Formats: sequence, structure tokens, C-alpha cells
Amino acid sequence: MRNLSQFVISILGPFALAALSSRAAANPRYIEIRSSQILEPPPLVCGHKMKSDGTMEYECRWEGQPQVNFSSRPGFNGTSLLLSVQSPFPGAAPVSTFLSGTPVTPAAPGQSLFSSPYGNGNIPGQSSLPTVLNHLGIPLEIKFGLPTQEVDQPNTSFPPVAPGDGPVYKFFNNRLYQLIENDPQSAEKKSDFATRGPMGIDPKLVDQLTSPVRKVENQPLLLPSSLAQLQKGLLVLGQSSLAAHRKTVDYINNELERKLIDRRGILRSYNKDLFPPLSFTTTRYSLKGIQVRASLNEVLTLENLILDQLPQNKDREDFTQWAEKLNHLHFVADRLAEANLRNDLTLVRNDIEQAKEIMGEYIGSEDHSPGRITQFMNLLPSFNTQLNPIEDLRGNAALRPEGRGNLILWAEQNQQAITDEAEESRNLLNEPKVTAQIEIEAAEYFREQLIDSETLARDVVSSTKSDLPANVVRLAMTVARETTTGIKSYLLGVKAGIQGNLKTKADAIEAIFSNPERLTRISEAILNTITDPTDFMRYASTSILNFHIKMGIVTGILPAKVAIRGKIAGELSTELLIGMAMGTTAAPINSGLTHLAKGLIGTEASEILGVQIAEGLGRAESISSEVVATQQAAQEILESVPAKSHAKILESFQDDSLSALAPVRKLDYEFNLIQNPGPLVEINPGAASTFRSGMYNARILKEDKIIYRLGEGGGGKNAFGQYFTEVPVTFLEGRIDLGVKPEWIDPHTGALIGSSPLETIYAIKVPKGTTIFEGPAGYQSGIYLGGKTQIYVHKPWKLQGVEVISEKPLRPKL
Amino acid sequence: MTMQSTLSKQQLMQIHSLYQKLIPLLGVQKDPDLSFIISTAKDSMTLIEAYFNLDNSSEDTRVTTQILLSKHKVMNQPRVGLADYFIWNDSLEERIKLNQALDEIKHNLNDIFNTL
Repeated sequence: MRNLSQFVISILGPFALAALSSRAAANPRYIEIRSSQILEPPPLVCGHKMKSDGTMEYECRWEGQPQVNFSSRPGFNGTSLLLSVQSPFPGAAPVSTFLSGTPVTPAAPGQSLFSSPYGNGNIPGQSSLPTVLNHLGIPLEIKFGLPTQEVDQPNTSFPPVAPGDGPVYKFFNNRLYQLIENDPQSAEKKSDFATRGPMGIDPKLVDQLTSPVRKVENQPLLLPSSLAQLQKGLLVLGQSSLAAHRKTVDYINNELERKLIDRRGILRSYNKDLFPPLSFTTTRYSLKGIQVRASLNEVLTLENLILDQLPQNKDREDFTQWAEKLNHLHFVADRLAEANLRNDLTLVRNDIEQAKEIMGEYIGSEDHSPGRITQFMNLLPSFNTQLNPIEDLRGNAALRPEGRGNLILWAEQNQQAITDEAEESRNLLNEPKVTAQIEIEAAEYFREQLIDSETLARDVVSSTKSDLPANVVRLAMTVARETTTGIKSYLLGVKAGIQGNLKTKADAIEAIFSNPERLTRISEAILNTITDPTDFMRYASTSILNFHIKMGIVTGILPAKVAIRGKIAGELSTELLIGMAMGTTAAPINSGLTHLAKGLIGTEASEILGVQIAEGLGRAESISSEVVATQQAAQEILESVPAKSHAKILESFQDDSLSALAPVRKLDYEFNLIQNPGPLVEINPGAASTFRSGMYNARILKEDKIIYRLGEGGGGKNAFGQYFTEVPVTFLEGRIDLGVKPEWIDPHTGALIGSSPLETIYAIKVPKGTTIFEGPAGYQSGIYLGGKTQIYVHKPWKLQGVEVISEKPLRPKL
Repeated sequence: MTMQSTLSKQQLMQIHSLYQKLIPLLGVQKDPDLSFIISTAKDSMTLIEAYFNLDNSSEDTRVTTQILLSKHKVMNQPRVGLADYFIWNDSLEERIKLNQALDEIKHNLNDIFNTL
């Protein structure tokens, strides 16, 4: 009866509870909510039968045995976790009795639904219903109509709720829809939701489970959608309980194992044939072994019982029965371990999917700065800590030899799949190298642009020698020279930092994964650092300061500081990560670094290196602004120079080694905003301002012309805008040379005006007779320098004969 | 065109009326990128309404003009602003027709603000 009810209730929750309560009123009743395989539950096999008292009894089982429902992932502060393990073996005690502790008694609506499986007070944050709701962001005043009353005493205080009608049902369905809306695979899940019901539950099954009970009981029901939501909440909480479970694992490893060996020694002193020796070749069990160990806990209990009886009863037949019982339990533990391994593979697959998502997010993001690379790379190692289930399996020497043999056979058969998963994960780790290379190329490109700027500044200074006081010329020369030097130094530093960071990080990660013992040490270190990352932060700060002092940059000029800081950040990352991989860093540092490596983004410790590099980048932007300011000032000076001096200016370029890099000159354009604004100001004054100093030419096309536009993908409306180029340009040219910012912010309010995604390049045919306006794109801010020739066409979407010739994605998705 | 330092009351009423016509047109294609323009237009309308509820001192007029001009400029941010917005339809003829009212409003707004 107990097993059956547990089965039924675990699947049907409160419905089954109500259904069973009429014949089991005196028995303790409890609810188990399964905490894993929520998103993709295995198929349910359900049946029902009419009982003698006229009520219906329902029973559902997940397909595939044994039942092991457990998920735990790091990442949140500790809360308790519900475990539900259903033994598939007739006659065996349900494993959940010792995994989940005392069966949970359902409480009144709104009160605590669950208690900790480890007892009150041992673990912070009990898994109460309010906790679950709070975690999900659901207001606590929502009451669940858990049907805890007897069948013949319907709860009239809670109004009945029909599916799709009541506020609770609607509330949870809305929540589910929100979750699905926010999901990257939204369309697929929506479709699944529509065809199969919430969380993949077959609508027919929902109807089967709810309708008869509702008719009989007239009870408020915890509908499947809300049940699924609760299950999902429990899964989230389960994932947050790693730290708490590690304590349990420690207990099992350190104390239970010793007790088992001790007891077995005593038993063997009575009969060595019946009780073979226990050996624990691998003393450390991972979290994945917890359920196996828990089953061994029951073995320990039984062995203690035997020991108690031995002095009074030496009947050999009785011993045989006990031994068979023990062996059976070993077999159960064996099968549980196999199921655990299957779950491990699922976790690995999930991790890889998540890693892919993260990499996709990185690749698709606008920010490819070294700081971001550091953050993403720090995230990735956490997906590889569970790639070695075989080792855990081999360590399970407490199992019966034949069971262990089966288990190892199964694992070896699946070895290739596990290896493939691990290989795929490692490949993912290498992807940052590719994206970082792009980053380096961008930096190179940026450097070229800045040299252009410097050239312009030199040109201006040279050209105005005869017109400006000597001290002004000297000052301008000094600014130009120092700026250029600083920028070059900085960029070299950043490049060195990125390259060093990438190479050694990859090496370090490889070193970590090639050494399982190191993984164990890291796991232990995580536990230490979750509570106190300050050691690492202190060390990192001190190290950076020491580098500054060592390299004598405190008194250096500002650009040099920036350059070296970028280099330091890279070198520091390198040194620390190598140290961690090689095991040469001091314990507290190792702990802190592990914390960093686990990538708990948002904590100060994990971001400190990224911040250092980002700060360097920020300084670079600042310097580039100075260059541009110099450039603009130079342009203004140039404009103030009499036209007759222009020839002399051009002559002065002849002696300059950089004179081949000709700057943009006002005399190349007919119109400018200061002296001759031209026709575009009348048509679209905002557009005129997008040209540098408002300089542009206007001409009427004598033939059809193909011009190019960068814009959002998707074609249609997105193919049209008013800004084009003569030739196809790259993403970087779009951002830097055309000054197209990813987001445009209102400078007064900080509000987002709009965004300019650059995803696709369109070729547009513009008909002859169209007026086009050409000129250098203006400077926007930061690295959005402008300078490349842009073409403005007024309202091309209204032109007769305009045609989209082609569209091509700018960057293939990796 | 004569340059002036502030908008006249008649111009303010015209701007209010133009924004009132503009907002429904911007909602035609339910483009979320237009939320800034719509909210700025609404803010401008609110400001004009507040102006007419005051005593209309010259300082009020000056400040109102400045704010409206500033909002107009930011609404017409190149590449993502009102000046670059149009209503899409695959058919060119239909597209021109759909944008006629929108273009007229944009043109009239520019005409008014260009007097400053």
C-alpha cells in the first residue's frame, strides 16, 4: 500500500492523494514532487480501475526503470533539495524513505508544503512552498487548493477551479507562456505547448487525470500546469543546492564508508562466505554517487540489525535471508548507479547546449572586447566538471562484483558517446580563440585608423606653421606625438594581453581537464571560496599594484600607463591560470581562482580581471577621443586657413614619410555646413550633419547605379534606409569608418532612441536621375570615427525603379 | 524664410495637431523601435498642453520652444529617427500611398522648426 500510494501520489500529486485518501485515511499521506526530467519527462504509462467503494484509483509510471529523479547543479545559494527515487524492484524498500527522509505531510493551502530531507535547521532555506513561490517570483498570497481534506469532507473554503477558467490556472499558464516567450527556442516550445499541453504533458492525459477526480471530489485542484510549474521551481531549487549536498557527500565519504567497513569486518568474523570484504578503492565519491551511497546506508542499517541479533541468534538460515536481502540492496544500488550515469550524460549534453548558447551570445554580441572574452572563457570550464562519470563508476567498489561488472560494461559501451561529448565540449572551449583573433584584427584595424588621425594632425600642424605662433605649433606637435606614442603602446599591450591570455588560458584549461585529481581539488576549493572569495580579491589587487611598481610606471606618462596596464592584465591572468593548472599557487589563491574559473558572473572576484582589461580599453577610447578632438581642431584650423595656403600645405606633405595617407580635405567637397550648407540642409538637415563637418557633394545619376547598405537582416523594409556606400563594406568598416553606433542614446535623458544592427549587406539599384549626396561620414563618439565616404539618398523607398539586387549576411554564425 | 527665436502660439498648436496625427501612423506596423519617437511626441504634446494652461510669459515660450526643438532634433536622429522611418509595403505604389500622410506631417514639422 505504501509503495503504491507513493507511486500514485508522486505522479498525480494531490489528485491521487485525494483519490487514495478514502481508503487510507489512517495512513500517513505525503506528496512527492519529482524534481528532474521536468522539461522532457519520459512517457507516462497510466491506468485506472474502479474500486469496490465506487471510487477510481489511478496509477501512472514513467516508462523505463529504475526511477531516479535527481538533479543538482551549482550556481545558487544553498537551499534544500527534494529527492524522489522509486525502487523498481518488488519487495524492496523504497529508496526514497532514506533519501527523502520522513515522508512529507501535506499542509493546509498556503503553508509549508515540503520539509528538508535533512531535517530542519541543518540546511539554510527550507524548501517550503513559499520559498518555491518566492524563487519563481510569484506573489505569496496565491493560495494553492491542495486537496488535503478527506473525500467525504470537501474543502468548501477554496472555490473550485476549472481548467482554463480559474485565476490560479490562468496565472500559471501566463507564467508558462512568459517562460516560453523568453526561451531561445520559443517557437518550438510554443508549438509543443499548443499540441501537447504544458511542459509536454499530453492534453488527453491531463484530461484523464483531472476530470474524473474533479467530478468525484468537487475539489479545488492543483492543475497540471501549476504542478509542472512547481516541479520546475523545485528543479531550480534543486540546482541551487550543490553546496548543501556536498556536505552530505562529505559525511558519506568520511564516516559512512568507515562504518560500513567496520561493520563488515565484524560480520566477516562470524561468516566470511556470506559477507565478502568491502573495499573502497576510490575514497572520494562525487555528487553523482550520492544515491548509491544512500542505498549503502540502508545496507549499513541492516548490517547493524544483523549484528544486534548475532549474539542471540546464530541460526544460519536466518543469516542467509539477511545476506540475500543485503545482496538485493546492493543490486538496487548498482542499478541506481547506472541510472545516475544516464543522467550524467543528459547533464553533459545540457551543459554543451548551454555552452553553445553562451558562445552564440558572445559571437552575436557587439562587445568583443578582451574583458568579454575573459568573462566567457571563465564561464566555460564549469561545463566540464562532470565529464568523467566512468571514474566515479569504477570507484563504486562497494557494489556486488557481478553488478559492478554489468555497470562497467554498460559504461564502457557508452564510453565513445561520453568521449564524443567531452571532445565537443573541448572544441567549444577553443572557439574563443577564433573570436579573439577577430578582436585582434579589429585592434589592428583600429590602430591604422588612429595613425590616419595622427597623420591628419601632423598635416595640419605642418600646413599652419607659417600662420600660427611657434608655441602653438610646438604644443600641437607635442600632443600629436604623445598621443600617437601612447596609442601605439596601448594597442601593442592589448594585443599582447589578448594573445597571452588566450594561449595560456587554453593551455591551463587543457591541463586542468587532463588531470582528474585537479578537478577534485578544484571542487573542494569551490566549497571554500563560495563563502569567502576575499582572499583572491586581495591577492589580485596586490599583484596588480606590485606589477605597477615593478615596472616603474607609476611615474610614467599616462598613455604608457594604459599600455602597460593592458599588458599586465593579460599577464596576470596568464600567470594565475597557469599557476592554478600546475598547482603551484598558494591554497587561498587556488581557491579564489577556482571561484573565478567557475564563472559566477556578477561576483566581484570573478570580474576583477575583466575589469582591469576593460579599464584599459576605456582608457584607449578616451585617448582615441583625444585624437579625434585633435583631428577636429585641426580641421577647424584648416578651414580657417586661407585657400591660397592650401597649395603650400600640400607641398609640405612631400617631405613627410606619412604623406601618402592623405587626410580628408575641405577643398574636395563643394558643400560644408559652415560656409556653403548646400541643398541637403533643406531636404534633411539631420542627414547633412552626418557628414564630417557637413562636407559633401551632390550629383544626379546619369545611369542606374548599384550602391550598398548595411542593415538589419531579413530583407523587405530592412533593405531600405537612406545611407549607403559606393562599395560593399565590412562590419568593422560600418561601425568604425561609417560611425554607425549599435545603439543611439539621447544625450540629455540617456534614453535609447534606436538601434542599428549590422547583419546584412544589401545591394540596391538606384535609377538614373536620382540625386545622391556623397561625403565623408562624420565622427560620432568613441571608436565610431567615420571618415569613409557615405552616400545619402533621400527616401529611396519611394523611387520608381529602385530594386534590391542582393542581400548577404555580414558574418556567418559560427 | 524669416528666422525667429521662439515658436508662435499658432505654430505650437500646429505642432500639437501634427503630433496627434503622427502617433497613430507610427503605430501602423507595431514597430517596437518606434517607442522612443512615440513617447517623445507624446511628451511634446503634454508640454504644449501645459504651456497653454500657463500664463504664457515670454520665458515660458522661450523654454517651451527650446525643449520642443530639442525633442524634435532627437526624434530625427539620423539613421534611427523619424526622418528615416517609413511604412513598408511590397508594392511601390501602395508604399507611396501609405507614406503620403506620414511624409506630409514630417514635412510640416520640419517647416515649422526650420523657422527657428
